[in-house]
Amino acid sequence: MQSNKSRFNHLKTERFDPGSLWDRVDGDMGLLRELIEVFAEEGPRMLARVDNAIRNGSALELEKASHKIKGSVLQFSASAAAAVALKLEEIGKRGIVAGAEQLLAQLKQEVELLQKSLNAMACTDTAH
Amino acid sequence: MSTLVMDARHTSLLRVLLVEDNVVDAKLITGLLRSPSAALQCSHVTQLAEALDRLEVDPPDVVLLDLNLEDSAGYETFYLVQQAAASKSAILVLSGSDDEELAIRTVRKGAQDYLVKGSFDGRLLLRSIRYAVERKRSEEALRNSQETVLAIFENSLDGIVIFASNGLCMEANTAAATLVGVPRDELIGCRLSDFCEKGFEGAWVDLTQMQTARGQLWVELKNGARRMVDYCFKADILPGQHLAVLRDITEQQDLEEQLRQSQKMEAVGRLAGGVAHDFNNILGVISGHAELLQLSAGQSERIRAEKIITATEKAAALTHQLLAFGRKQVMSLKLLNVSLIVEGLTSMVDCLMSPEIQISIQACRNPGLVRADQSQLEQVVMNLATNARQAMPEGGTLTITIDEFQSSKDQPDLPPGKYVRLSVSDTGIGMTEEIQSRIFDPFFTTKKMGSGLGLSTVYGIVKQSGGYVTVQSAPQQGSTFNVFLPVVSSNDLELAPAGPRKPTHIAGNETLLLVDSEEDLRNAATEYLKACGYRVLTAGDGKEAVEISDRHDGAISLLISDIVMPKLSGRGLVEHVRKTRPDTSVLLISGYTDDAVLRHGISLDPSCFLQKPFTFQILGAKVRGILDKAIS
Repeated sequence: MQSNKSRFNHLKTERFDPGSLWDRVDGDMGLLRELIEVFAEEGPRMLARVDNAIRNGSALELEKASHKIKGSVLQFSASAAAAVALKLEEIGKRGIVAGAEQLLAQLKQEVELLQKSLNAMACTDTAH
Repeated sequence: MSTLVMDARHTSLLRVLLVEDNVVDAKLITGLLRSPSAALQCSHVTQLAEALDRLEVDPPDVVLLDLNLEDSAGYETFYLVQQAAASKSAILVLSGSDDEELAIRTVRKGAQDYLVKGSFDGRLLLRSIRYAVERKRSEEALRNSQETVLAIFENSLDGIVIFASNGLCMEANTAAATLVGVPRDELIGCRLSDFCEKGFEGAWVDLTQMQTARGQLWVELKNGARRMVDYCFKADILPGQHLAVLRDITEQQDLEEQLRQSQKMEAVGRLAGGVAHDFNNILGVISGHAELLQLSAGQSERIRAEKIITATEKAAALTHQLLAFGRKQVMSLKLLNVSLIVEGLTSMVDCLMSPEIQISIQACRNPGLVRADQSQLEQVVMNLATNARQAMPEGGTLTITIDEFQSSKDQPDLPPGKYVRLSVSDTGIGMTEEIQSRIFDPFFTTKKMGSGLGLSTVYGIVKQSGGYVTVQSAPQQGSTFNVFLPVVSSNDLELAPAGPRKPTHIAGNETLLLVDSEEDLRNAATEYLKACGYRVLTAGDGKEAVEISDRHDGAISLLISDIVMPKLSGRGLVEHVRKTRPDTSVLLISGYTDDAVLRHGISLDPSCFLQKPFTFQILGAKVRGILDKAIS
């Protein structure tokens, strides 16, 4: 498993730790691919929920939606995305939505980068 | 063994309920748990309401719980799930928030673990699940054990007390509080020595040093009563905590004491019975020779012989008392005039008293008649008089009064009716109420040399005679014992013979076979019966009697035989004679009671039995009576 894990080293950045994710799924590429697939569907929905919360000025909904996406990106070891989601969650917790649009844009960017990294990981040949 | 249990448990599937509304998280967790090696059966719900339903219907082994759901958030989610799971499921919290405060709060309230999303992998999750289940089971076992211990503690009939090292009671059950006679909350904070007889303080130090100990101690109640307690002590059941189990054995001790007393009575009784038997034979010889003397002597010797006979009768009465003590005496109930009985005892009572004691007897001349055993009634008078003398060491006045007493309904201790009241009063030291309440108990005595049997014998005899006995006394004001004996209708006047007997000569000429192993008695009786005109064959034991009977050509009208004899018993002899000489009548004599006849299995009319010692006049009358009956 260690040798497989090292194959993802080229994907490791400050934002994303593929080795940690690989450990989390117990080196199960099948499970990883399933997760990536689910995230490909759910990620945009989650972001849309945050977007809606900001548009509707619902701080509570912003907190909930941000918390939700934070949980998911944490599981993918995407620390930068999780940090932005946490900021959004904290804004919502304070009962405001002002200034959230900028953070949402940042989060969308992080999620996009994460998905690219995940896709790259899923395509990596781990058979050797 | 615990390893085996763990392995066995791991072979069965653990049922896991995942409560998670994040699809990605749920996918990850169910994916991690689906490995066959995980041995888990995982089901998934996304809402709290759904989770609560599952918990109610089919509680899983473990709940993996995300706190932030669509229909609930934060600690409230945990609280509601925990309430529904009760003690049936372990709860493992999964959270996207690394919130230390929330984590501690949930774990304190019963969560087995708090895992932050992104910080655990499959191995950690599986290990957490297994540990959670084991901890939950251990907690459950501990709770069951605590409940069992608590139930035992609360329901034990023995007192259970936990003491701190300083000797103060930390915890006590109801039985312990009952034992020392204080409410349970009052017992907490007390020392055991607060309830024990003086000197127990030192014993407590010894106990804590001994680690384990068993023994007995006296507990003193506030009301002055004392309880004998068996204790079992174990030091340091927990650091600084000592256990004492206390059992009240007061009643058990009392019962054991009663049993010991009853066994003592039985042993003394057996001894007394045996002595009485031998003594009766000796008395029989003495009185027999005195009677023979009466037949041939002059007037002055006859009076002396009469005195010997009277003395042997009194000695026989004593042996009767011994037999009564051994419960071997058959009461010989007769209608008696109590005044005459007391009058007959005057000289003996006089001898019994010290010179400093004045005696006053006030006897109603003709009180009603009572049904009682004369020797027993005499014993009652003598025992009460003895008791009175002992109560007046410095002298005083003994007053014996006999009168009639009519009891009314107002007297609770005495049913309405007519009684003869025999009062024995002294002007002695008197008694406290406490002593009065125990005065009739067997072996209770206030005297250094007393047997404690005198008044209990009085009580027994009076009760046996259908009467009542009461006592009135106060310290330094003397005592009066009143014996109430029910008056019997005077239609049946079977008065006991009183006054000097007149020698009677009951003659006959039949042949008698007299068998008794006591040679002196046999010879004296033979001489008497010969003097009456009978022809007397004699034998010293059953075997010799059989030989004489078989050898003798003529008729033998009556066999007079002892029961307990060497070689051949009375029973064997009687059976042989009945077979070989069916016309021969039988009279059995014994130093034991007529119970002996029954015990030896001899079928006999009770009238054909004479208990030793007997006077020869009675023997003569009995012999003549049986012979006359046989003829008729």
